[in-house]
Amino acid sequence: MAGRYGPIPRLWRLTLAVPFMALVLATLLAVVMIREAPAQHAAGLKVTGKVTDKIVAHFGPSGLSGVRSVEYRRFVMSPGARMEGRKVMDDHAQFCVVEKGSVTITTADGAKHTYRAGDAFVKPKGFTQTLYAADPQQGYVELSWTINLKGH
Amino acid sequence: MRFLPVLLVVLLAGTLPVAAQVGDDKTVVPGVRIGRWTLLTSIPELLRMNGPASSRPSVASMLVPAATWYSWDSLGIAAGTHDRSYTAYLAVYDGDYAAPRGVGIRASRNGVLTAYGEPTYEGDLVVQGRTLTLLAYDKIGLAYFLHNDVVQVFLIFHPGNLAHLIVSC
Repeated sequence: MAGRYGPIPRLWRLTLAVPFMALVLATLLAVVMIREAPAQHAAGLKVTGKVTDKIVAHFGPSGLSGVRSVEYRRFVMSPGARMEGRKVMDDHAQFCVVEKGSVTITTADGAKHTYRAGDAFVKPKGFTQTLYAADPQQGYVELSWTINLKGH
Repeated sequence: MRFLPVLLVVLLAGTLPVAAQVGDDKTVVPGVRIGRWTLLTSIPELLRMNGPASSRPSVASMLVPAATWYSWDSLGIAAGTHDRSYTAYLAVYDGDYAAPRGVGIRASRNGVLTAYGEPTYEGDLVVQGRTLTLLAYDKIGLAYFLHNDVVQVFLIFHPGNLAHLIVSC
Protein backbone atom coordinates (compact mmCIF):
# COMPACT_ATOMS: atom_id res chain seq x y z
CA MET A 1 0.00 0.00 0.00
CA ALA A 2 1.51 3.26 -1.18
CA GLY A 3 -0.48 5.41 1.25
CA ARG A 4 -1.69 8.94 0.83
CA TYR A 5 1.58 10.39 -0.53
CA GLY A 6 2.70 7.49 -2.76
CA PRO A 7 6.30 6.27 -3.17
CA ILE A 8 7.81 9.31 -4.95
CA PRO A 9 6.66 11.98 -2.49
CA ARG A 10 7.93 9.73 0.32
CA LEU A 11 11.35 9.68 -1.30
CA TRP A 12 11.17 13.43 -1.68
CA ARG A 13 10.32 13.79 2.01
CA LEU A 14 13.26 11.53 2.87
CA THR A 15 15.57 13.68 0.72
CA LEU A 16 14.40 16.78 2.57
CA ALA A 17 14.67 15.10 5.95
CA VAL A 18 18.42 14.46 5.64
CA PRO A 19 19.51 18.11 5.21
CA PHE A 20 16.89 19.15 7.77
CA MET A 21 18.29 16.75 10.35
CA ALA A 22 21.82 17.87 9.48
CA LEU A 23 20.75 21.47 10.05
CA VAL A 24 19.18 20.59 13.40
CA LEU A 25 22.32 18.71 14.47
CA ALA A 26 24.58 21.56 13.35
CA THR A 27 22.47 24.06 15.29
CA LEU A 28 22.57 21.90 18.43
CA LEU A 29 26.34 21.49 18.07
CA ALA A 30 26.78 25.26 17.63
CA VAL A 31 24.69 25.93 20.75
CA VAL A 32 26.76 23.45 22.76
CA MET A 33 30.04 24.93 21.48
CA ILE A 34 28.93 28.50 22.20
CA ARG A 35 28.04 27.45 25.74
CA GLU A 36 31.23 25.46 26.21
CA ALA A 37 33.64 28.14 25.01
CA PRO A 38 33.19 30.59 27.90
CA ALA A 39 32.93 27.70 30.36
CA GLN A 40 36.57 26.93 29.70
CA HIS A 41 37.52 30.39 30.88
CA ALA A 42 35.15 30.28 33.83
CA ALA A 43 37.46 27.65 35.29
CA GLY A 44 39.57 30.63 36.43
CA LEU A 45 39.67 32.39 39.75
CA LYS A 46 36.70 34.08 41.34
CA VAL A 47 36.88 36.66 44.11
CA THR A 48 34.07 37.20 46.61
CA GLY A 49 34.32 40.19 48.92
CA LYS A 50 37.22 42.60 48.55
CA VAL A 51 40.91 41.82 48.20
CA THR A 52 43.80 44.29 48.04
CA ASP A 53 47.44 43.43 47.47
CA LYS A 54 49.63 46.54 47.72
CA ILE A 55 53.37 46.90 47.37
CA VAL A 56 54.89 48.55 50.44
CA ALA A 57 58.43 48.44 49.05
CA HIS A 58 60.00 47.09 45.89
CA PHE A 59 63.64 46.08 45.62
CA GLY A 60 64.97 45.21 42.23
CA PRO A 61 66.87 44.21 40.33
CA SER A 62 68.15 42.39 43.36
CA GLY A 63 71.60 41.41 42.11
CA LEU A 64 70.95 37.94 43.46
CA SER A 65 71.35 35.03 41.08
CA GLY A 66 67.94 33.78 39.91
CA VAL A 67 66.04 36.60 41.62
CA ARG A 68 64.45 39.34 39.51
CA SER A 69 63.14 41.45 42.36
CA VAL A 70 61.88 41.33 45.92
CA GLU A 71 58.67 42.97 47.10
CA TYR A 72 57.36 43.67 50.54
CA ARG A 73 53.57 43.45 50.24
CA ARG A 74 50.49 43.94 52.38
CA PHE A 75 47.63 41.64 51.43
CA VAL A 76 44.17 42.34 52.87
CA MET A 77 40.93 40.36 52.57
CA SER A 78 37.66 41.74 53.87
CA PRO A 79 35.75 39.60 56.44
CA GLY A 80 34.45 36.47 54.73
CA ALA A 81 36.25 37.23 51.46
CA ARG A 82 37.18 34.24 49.31
CA MET A 83 39.38 33.56 46.34
CA GLU A 84 38.14 30.40 44.69
CA GLY A 85 39.92 28.68 41.85
CA ARG A 86 43.22 27.14 40.98
CA LYS A 87 46.13 29.54 41.32
CA VAL A 88 49.69 28.41 40.71
CA MET A 89 52.61 30.48 41.94
CA ASP A 90 54.76 29.75 38.93
CA ASP A 91 57.04 32.78 38.94
CA HIS A 92 57.56 33.66 42.58
CA ALA A 93 57.83 32.39 46.15
CA GLN A 94 56.55 34.03 49.35
CA PHE A 95 57.30 34.26 53.02
CA CYS A 96 54.10 35.34 54.79
CA VAL A 97 53.34 36.64 58.27
CA VAL A 98 49.74 36.96 59.45
CA GLU A 99 49.19 40.41 60.93
CA LYS A 100 45.49 40.16 61.72
CA GLY A 101 42.56 37.74 61.45
CA SER A 102 42.99 34.32 59.92
CA VAL A 103 42.94 32.48 56.62
CA THR A 104 42.20 28.94 55.57
CA ILE A 105 44.09 27.87 52.49
CA THR A 106 43.07 24.78 50.55
CA THR A 107 45.82 23.37 48.38
CA ALA A 108 45.60 21.37 45.17
CA ASP A 109 45.78 18.04 47.03
CA GLY A 110 42.72 19.00 49.12
CA ALA A 111 44.65 19.72 52.33
CA LYS A 112 43.46 22.67 54.44
CA HIS A 113 45.79 24.89 56.46
CA THR A 114 44.59 27.63 58.80
CA TYR A 115 46.93 30.46 59.79
CA ARG A 116 46.15 33.01 62.51
CA ALA A 117 47.61 36.34 63.63
CA GLY A 118 51.28 35.86 64.53
CA ASP A 119 51.75 32.74 62.37
CA ALA A 120 54.30 32.64 59.57
CA PHE A 121 54.44 30.33 56.59
CA VAL A 122 56.24 29.84 53.30
CA LYS A 123 54.69 29.33 49.88
CA PRO A 124 57.39 27.92 47.57
CA LYS A 125 57.48 28.33 43.82
CA GLY A 126 54.88 26.00 42.32
CA PHE A 127 52.58 26.30 45.35
CA THR A 128 49.03 25.68 44.11
CA GLN A 129 45.96 26.83 45.97
CA THR A 130 42.31 26.24 45.18
CA LEU A 131 40.71 28.31 47.93
CA TYR A 132 41.84 31.24 50.09
CA ALA A 133 39.13 32.00 52.66
CA ALA A 134 39.36 34.87 55.16
CA ASP A 135 37.96 34.84 58.68
CA PRO A 136 34.25 35.75 58.51
CA GLN A 137 34.50 38.24 61.39
CA GLN A 138 38.00 39.69 61.32
CA GLY A 139 39.06 39.21 57.72
CA TYR A 140 42.71 38.63 57.01
CA VAL A 141 45.81 40.81 56.81
CA GLU A 142 49.10 39.33 55.65
CA LEU A 143 52.54 40.82 55.25
CA SER A 144 54.64 39.03 52.70
CA TRP A 145 58.05 39.08 51.15
CA THR A 146 57.58 38.07 47.57
CA ILE A 147 60.63 36.86 45.70
CA ASN A 148 60.10 37.22 41.95
CA LEU A 149 62.20 34.70 40.08
CA LYS A 150 64.08 35.21 36.84
CA GLY A 151 63.19 33.41 33.66
CA HIS A 152 59.40 33.89 34.00
CA MET B 1 7.73 41.47 -9.31
CA ARG B 2 7.94 45.08 -10.46
CA PHE B 3 8.45 46.14 -6.84
CA LEU B 4 11.45 43.85 -6.48
CA PRO B 5 14.10 46.45 -7.54
CA VAL B 6 12.54 49.00 -5.19
CA LEU B 7 12.54 46.48 -2.38
CA LEU B 8 16.20 45.65 -3.03
CA VAL B 9 17.17 49.33 -2.99
CA VAL B 10 15.31 49.85 0.31
CA LEU B 11 16.98 46.81 1.86
CA LEU B 12 20.45 47.91 0.70
CA ALA B 13 19.91 51.45 1.97
CA GLY B 14 18.87 50.01 5.31
CA THR B 15 22.08 48.04 5.67
CA LEU B 16 24.48 50.90 4.85
CA PRO B 17 24.29 52.78 8.17
CA VAL B 18 24.65 49.48 10.03
CA ALA B 19 27.82 48.70 8.10
CA ALA B 20 29.18 52.16 8.90
CA GLN B 21 28.37 51.71 12.60
CA VAL B 22 30.18 48.37 12.72
CA GLY B 23 33.32 49.94 11.25
CA ASP B 24 33.34 52.81 13.78
CA ASP B 25 32.10 50.85 16.74
CA LYS B 26 34.02 51.96 19.84
CA THR B 27 31.63 50.43 22.32
CA VAL B 28 33.08 48.45 25.19
CA VAL B 29 30.87 45.92 26.91
CA PRO B 30 32.73 44.50 29.95
CA GLY B 31 33.11 40.74 29.84
CA VAL B 32 31.76 40.62 26.29
CA ARG B 33 33.27 42.82 23.58
CA ILE B 34 35.33 45.80 22.52
CA GLY B 35 33.99 47.24 19.31
CA ARG B 36 33.43 44.38 16.92
CA TRP B 37 35.85 42.05 18.71
CA THR B 38 34.29 39.71 21.26
CA LEU B 39 35.82 37.37 23.80
CA LEU B 40 34.24 34.53 21.83
CA THR B 41 36.21 35.49 18.72
CA SER B 42 39.11 33.09 18.40
CA ILE B 43 42.69 34.31 17.93
CA PRO B 44 42.88 32.95 14.36
CA GLU B 45 39.62 34.78 13.60
CA LEU B 46 40.98 38.02 15.10
CA LEU B 47 44.08 37.67 12.92
CA ARG B 48 41.85 37.20 9.90
CA MET B 49 39.77 40.26 10.84
CA ASN B 50 42.61 42.63 11.75
CA GLY B 51 45.53 41.36 9.70
CA PRO B 52 48.94 40.39 11.06
CA ALA B 53 49.69 41.47 14.62
CA SER B 54 52.24 44.22 15.26
CA SER B 55 55.76 42.98 15.76
CA ARG B 56 56.37 45.34 18.70
CA PRO B 57 54.97 43.90 21.97
CA SER B 58 52.21 46.03 23.45
CA VAL B 59 52.15 47.23 27.04
CA ALA B 60 49.40 44.68 27.71
CA SER B 61 51.89 41.87 27.27
CA MET B 62 53.91 43.26 30.20
CA LEU B 63 50.86 43.61 32.42
CA VAL B 64 49.70 40.00 32.05
CA PRO B 65 52.90 38.18 31.07
CA ALA B 66 51.33 34.76 31.64
CA ALA B 67 49.30 35.22 28.45
CA THR B 68 50.45 35.24 24.83
CA TRP B 69 49.49 38.59 23.30
CA TYR B 70 48.65 39.77 19.81
CA SER B 71 48.43 43.52 19.36
CA TRP B 72 47.34 45.82 16.56
CA ASP B 73 48.91 49.25 17.02
CA SER B 74 46.73 50.83 14.34
CA LEU B 75 43.64 49.83 16.35
CA GLY B 76 45.10 50.28 19.83
CA ILE B 77 43.86 46.89 20.95
CA ALA B 78 45.50 43.63 21.98
CA ALA B 79 44.19 40.13 22.52
CA GLY B 80 45.58 37.78 25.14
CA THR B 81 45.30 34.02 25.14
CA HIS B 82 46.51 31.10 27.22
CA ASP B 83 46.17 28.48 24.50
CA ARG B 84 46.66 30.49 21.27
CA SER B 85 43.05 29.79 20.35
CA TYR B 86 40.50 31.13 22.84
CA THR B 87 40.64 34.84 23.62
CA ALA B 88 41.02 35.32 27.37
CA TYR B 89 41.49 39.11 27.35
CA LEU B 90 40.88 42.03 25.03
CA ALA B 91 42.88 45.09 26.04
CA VAL B 92 42.71 48.72 24.94
CA TYR B 93 46.00 50.62 25.13
CA ASP B 94 45.30 53.45 22.71
CA GLY B 95 42.39 55.18 21.00
CA ASP B 96 39.09 56.60 22.12
CA TYR B 97 37.36 53.42 23.19
CA ALA B 98 35.39 54.01 26.37
CA ALA B 99 33.73 51.59 28.73
CA PRO B 100 29.95 52.07 29.20
CA ARG B 101 30.26 54.72 31.89
CA GLY B 102 32.70 56.80 29.88
CA VAL B 103 35.81 55.63 31.73
CA GLY B 104 38.61 54.98 29.26
CA ILE B 105 42.30 55.66 28.84
CA ARG B 106 43.54 58.76 30.71
CA ALA B 107 40.58 58.60 33.12
CA SER B 108 41.41 59.17 36.78
CA ARG B 109 41.27 56.67 39.62
CA ASN B 110 38.39 58.66 41.11
CA GLY B 111 36.59 58.42 37.78
CA VAL B 112 36.89 54.63 37.83
CA LEU B 113 35.77 54.36 41.46
CA THR B 114 32.87 56.77 40.94
CA ALA B 115 31.67 54.82 37.91
CA TYR B 116 32.15 51.26 39.16
CA GLY B 117 32.56 51.45 42.94
CA GLU B 118 35.15 49.53 44.93
CA PRO B 119 36.95 46.90 42.85
CA THR B 120 36.80 43.23 43.77
CA TYR B 121 40.58 43.06 43.59
CA GLU B 122 43.17 45.81 43.81
CA GLY B 123 46.83 44.98 43.40
CA ASP B 124 50.14 46.61 42.63
CA LEU B 125 52.65 45.38 40.10
CA VAL B 126 55.99 46.72 38.94
CA VAL B 127 56.52 46.90 35.19
CA GLN B 128 59.82 48.24 33.87
CA GLY B 129 60.46 50.08 37.11
CA ARG B 130 57.01 51.69 37.23
CA THR B 131 54.44 50.74 39.83
CA LEU B 132 51.02 50.16 38.33
CA THR B 133 47.79 49.53 40.18
CA LEU B 134 45.26 47.04 38.93
CA LEU B 135 41.60 47.66 39.72
CA ALA B 136 39.63 44.55 38.73
CA TYR B 137 35.87 44.07 38.66
CA ASP B 138 35.53 40.33 38.70
CA LYS B 139 31.75 40.11 38.37
CA ILE B 140 31.56 42.13 35.15
CA GLY B 141 34.92 41.20 33.62
CA LEU B 142 36.60 44.61 33.52
CA ALA B 143 40.04 45.69 34.74
CA TYR B 144 41.94 48.99 34.72
CA PHE B 145 45.70 49.44 35.00
CA LEU B 146 46.69 52.83 36.41
CA HIS B 147 49.97 54.67 36.82
CA ASN B 148 49.96 57.69 39.11
CA ASP B 149 46.19 57.28 39.39
CA VAL B 150 45.66 57.64 35.62
CA VAL B 151 44.32 54.79 33.47
CA GLN B 152 46.99 53.50 31.05
CA VAL B 153 45.31 50.31 29.82
CA PHE B 154 41.99 48.64 30.39
CA LEU B 155 40.89 45.18 29.49
CA ILE B 156 37.88 42.93 29.47
CA PHE B 157 37.95 39.29 30.50
CA HIS B 158 35.56 36.43 31.13
CA PRO B 159 33.87 37.23 34.48
CA GLY B 160 35.14 35.05 37.31
CA ASN B 161 38.54 34.52 35.73
CA LEU B 162 41.07 36.56 37.67
CA ALA B 163 43.63 33.76 37.93
CA HIS B 164 46.29 35.35 35.76
CA LEU B 165 45.47 38.94 36.70
CA ILE B 166 46.12 38.50 40.41
CA VAL B 167 49.67 39.56 40.86
CA SER B 168 50.94 37.59 43.83
CA CYS B 169 49.40 35.25 46.41
